[in-house]
Amino acid sequence: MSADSTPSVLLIGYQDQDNLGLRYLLSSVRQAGFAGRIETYTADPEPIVALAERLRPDVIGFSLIFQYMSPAFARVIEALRAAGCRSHVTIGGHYPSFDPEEVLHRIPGANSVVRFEGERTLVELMQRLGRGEGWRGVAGIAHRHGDEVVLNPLRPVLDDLDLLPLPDRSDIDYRRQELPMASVLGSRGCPWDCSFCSIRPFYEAQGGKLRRLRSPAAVVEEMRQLHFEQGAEMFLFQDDDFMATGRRARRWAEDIASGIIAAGLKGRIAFKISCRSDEVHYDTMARLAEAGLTHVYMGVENGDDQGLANMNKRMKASAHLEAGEVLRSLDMSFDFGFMLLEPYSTIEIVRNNIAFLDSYVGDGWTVAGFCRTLPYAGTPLKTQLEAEGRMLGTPFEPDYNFLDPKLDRFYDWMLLTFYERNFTNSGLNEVLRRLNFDARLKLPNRRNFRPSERAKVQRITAECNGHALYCLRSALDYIETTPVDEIDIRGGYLAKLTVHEKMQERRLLAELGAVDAARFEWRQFLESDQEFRSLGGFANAWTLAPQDLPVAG
Amino acid sequence: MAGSLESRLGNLEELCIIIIIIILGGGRGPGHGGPSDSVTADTSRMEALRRILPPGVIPDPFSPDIARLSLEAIEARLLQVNAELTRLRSHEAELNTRLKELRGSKTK
Repeated sequence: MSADSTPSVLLIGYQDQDNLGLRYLLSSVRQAGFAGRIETYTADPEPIVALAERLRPDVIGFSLIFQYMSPAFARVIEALRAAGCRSHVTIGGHYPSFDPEEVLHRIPGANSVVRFEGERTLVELMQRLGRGEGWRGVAGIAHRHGDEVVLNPLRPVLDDLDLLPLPDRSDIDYRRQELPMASVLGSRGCPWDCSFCSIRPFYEAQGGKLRRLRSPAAVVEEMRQLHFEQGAEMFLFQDDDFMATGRRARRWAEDIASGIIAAGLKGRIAFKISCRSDEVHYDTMARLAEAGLTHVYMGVENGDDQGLANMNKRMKASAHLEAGEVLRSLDMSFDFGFMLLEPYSTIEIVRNNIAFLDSYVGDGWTVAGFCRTLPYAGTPLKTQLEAEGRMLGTPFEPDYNFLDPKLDRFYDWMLLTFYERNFTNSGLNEVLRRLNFDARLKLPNRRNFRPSERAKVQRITAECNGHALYCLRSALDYIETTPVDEIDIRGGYLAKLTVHEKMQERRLLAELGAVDAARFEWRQFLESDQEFRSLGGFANAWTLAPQDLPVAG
Repeated sequence: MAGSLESRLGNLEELCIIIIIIILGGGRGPGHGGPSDSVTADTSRMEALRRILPPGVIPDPFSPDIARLSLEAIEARLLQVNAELTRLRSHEAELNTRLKELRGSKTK
């Protein structure tokens, strides 16, 4: 129990993009009369142990977003227990929700797992602990009983999201950020059943609607408060899919746009959304652009119709191209997720994907990033691969082989060659993502990019894409015509391709340094008195903590 | 055979001399002493040629005989060619954007 006897919770997780999951939890426990605070997760247990010793919270809640981070979280929890921490330790998030047995088995210091939507479960857990009652009956948790893990019945989802208190952002000072950037959630859930995604199973587990929308008025009011009272200028909508559920969603989105304009926010703020490319409709996007939408993230995933069918995306690749044209016509920046390889890929599909990337972003409008699909917990893909006996790796780090062994060699080469480019914070992919995001931002009192500067960024991005796609194509051609046991990814032609790609990346990164330097000199010509923010506003828009980018894929 | 080669070299030499005469007015550029030939010192043509090929421009190298290139050499050359093509294509796009921008601002 904390010093003032009010039951308290210490919530620990990444604070990237505000971590709205933790902030909704915090506002819910505070609304219920408990004390609480959020602390950033660190791989080094020492600061967390010291804080826990000082605060002595009743509950410590870990937000475990990334499956592969489970062992690191386990080490922190182990250190807490070793230091004599007697708080109730619980873990929540996508992965623990789907795999509580594994989590509780591998993390013996944890008492429970809060499964799926956690606000009301955590409140009830704290109420029972506060009253000194047994907590094992709380709906929605998993806990140990001897060697067994007990999964309590799940509680139904909260139908009306407007009943939730707004996320607690009391400790965030947006005005101190170079580009004050707040995260907002307008909805929860997604009705699509893509094979690689666990969002639908996550919300489906508790029943209820597959996508719940907050009222546009409530969303706009939250934005209005964040802007006028806390200084936020850029809003990142964290909705799983901002435009999902067809006409209803378009009307909803347009109502939000109208609300933003009516609230006097037009021209004062910018915002970003995520959606599928077949949900990009010109009229809706134009209305959103009028209200301040400048960036769209799209789950493109594959550029081949068979590849899309393998992923159960229920769409054609042509929709991606059309969406790209719509967003270009509205002068918006966009970026996208792309899985060049998936468990059912063939060489032909991969070749088509490379050709698709060329036609999609060969002009350098945005940077072409690429990875392979991973069978995360809770996804239909994982179930499918398990049924086929193809799951490899560990529960925390799942793996598989491709059906064509040549694609395993291709993927190994791809990882070796593009690891820095695609998966590190200082890699060309990330640097260009930030630049392209910034290049089309339009905010008042800020130095926005000139057309010639945008053209330069686009030229460098086109080069970056061109070199990468050439190397991918050349490697695939080589691997296709070479017997699998003669493919040497560290020597011969493939090694030359690797060196070539890395040399081009280094040259372009050096040139981007020149862009920076040039922009620095141009500051003296600025008319505005505002301090010109440095490049990289999009760094805050990553869904991953910088230290996790390398391994996130 | 030798005679034929000699004859070809002779023709080539003759051609070079004619070209030099046309362009430089007999091989004597300004400052070489003596009055220049007013008929062959065609300065306007020289200016025109200079505009086409400004000083310092390096012409395209001769294409090597690819039949004699090894697999490795072709692979390496292809990497160079593609890198250059990628650079040039994206540079062309950047220039076109700037051109449109400038022409657009001119018409305003």
